[in-house]
Amino acid sequence: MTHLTEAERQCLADATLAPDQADALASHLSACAECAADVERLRAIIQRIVAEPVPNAEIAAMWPAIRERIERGKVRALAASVPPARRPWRAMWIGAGAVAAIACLALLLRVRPHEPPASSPPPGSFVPNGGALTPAADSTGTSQAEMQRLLDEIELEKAMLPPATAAVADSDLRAIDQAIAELKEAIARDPSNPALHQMLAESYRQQQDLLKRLHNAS
Amino acid sequence: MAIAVACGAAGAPAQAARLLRAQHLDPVAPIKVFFPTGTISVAVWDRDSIEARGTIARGERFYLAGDVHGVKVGIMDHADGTPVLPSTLVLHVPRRSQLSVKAVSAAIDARDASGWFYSVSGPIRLTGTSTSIDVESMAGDVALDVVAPWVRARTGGGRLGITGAPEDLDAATVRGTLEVQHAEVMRGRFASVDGDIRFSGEPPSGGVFEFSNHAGGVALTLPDSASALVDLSTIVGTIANGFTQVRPAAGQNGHGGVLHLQLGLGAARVTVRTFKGTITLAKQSP
Repeated sequence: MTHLTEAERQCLADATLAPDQADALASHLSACAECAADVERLRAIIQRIVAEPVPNAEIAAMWPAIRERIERGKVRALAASVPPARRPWRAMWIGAGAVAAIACLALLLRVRPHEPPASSPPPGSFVPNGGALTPAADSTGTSQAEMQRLLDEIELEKAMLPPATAAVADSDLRAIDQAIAELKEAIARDPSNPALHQMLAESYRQQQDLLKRLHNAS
Repeated sequence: MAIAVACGAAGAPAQAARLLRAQHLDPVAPIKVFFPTGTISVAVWDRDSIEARGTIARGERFYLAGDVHGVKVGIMDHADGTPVLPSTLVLHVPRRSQLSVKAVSAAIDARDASGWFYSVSGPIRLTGTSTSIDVESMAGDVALDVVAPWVRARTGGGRLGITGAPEDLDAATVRGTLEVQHAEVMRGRFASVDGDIRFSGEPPSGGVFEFSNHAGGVALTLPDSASALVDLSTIVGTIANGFTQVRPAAGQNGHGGVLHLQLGLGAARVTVRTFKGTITLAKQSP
């Protein structure tokens, strides 16, 4: 007996077939227990998805920690010499409005975050400049906010992975984080060293590559 | 839809496996493969069809869906998240088809295939002649022995081994060892964070090679006939020159080291930078 194709079973399960087509296939179901059982299984999955619009509790529970981490990054401590002052309510609203306006302007004017193209340019695109080779993609001009966004995305992707895979990702992330920390420390001591900036750019590239691998694993 | 029954190539082990599905396929059609566990082998042929042979584990659902313009192939994941049992699959695909192969712990073995290959923890082995290769693994090993104009390879903790002739090569690991042995690379970019990088071979005239490592070592083993401008620098690591008598100079602030060499006529360009990894330059034994 010729069984229904995968597409036919799925269309029967989610009732997206034209009535005449559905009738023709339904007659097969009455004669084929295997196809009938599979269509029933697919219908049950679809009904579960439809019946449960509430997001997965485990994933939903992660958002507060991620959001808290984002919010923490926005807070800047005031200098010690500035006494905390109680501002009148009106002044606070005007201040908040100004901050919002500046933030909107910044969003409109911000440079597109650097992302590697889907098919990265081959190393042959390097242009020798008489000195050390500097790939065009090397740049440490990424803003703090964009880095934080990347880190938050990495945490979210890791949370979707099986524990063993997440552990591997953790080890990779720790190695990259340590490299970035050491390079930043070295740059703080020697800010005019181009090799340090190039190595830091390479570490950020590794971080982006890791995010891509994590995304593909989930 | 015609079912192509392969009955001409006697003697090839793949032909002995049970035919699962076959159909016509455009020569450049995209093929998406998801194969969680087991072994998947991919080979190309000069036919306008795709053929799937193998043994599917009891209870697992194999699918080959699509039309002449593109197909999806693989084993369905379990909706309840239970592990998928290992299966064996041998795919024959048109030579110019663009593959996307994704595995979890399955071993991927492909010959003369082009496209994107990804594994979470299974090993990946690619051989033969391809038009382009993009291969990544979170935790598995990757072994490349390919002739291709462009190759991009990434591993996390797994070993990345490269030979063959990848003309433009972009290879990186996080913690795994990156080993390039006598590969005919014209332009190469090699990077790691914590894994060692080992390169042995002769940079070709006009070749451009860049090595970058944070904490892992970079070991270059070049033949006596090598012709290259070699720039080695490390921020706080050490440089060991076993190729010539020239000693490295101290780096900035007295830490690390710097060494500039011209080997032969300086026909290629080799740049090595590490933060704290050891750089070693050695001569190949005859």
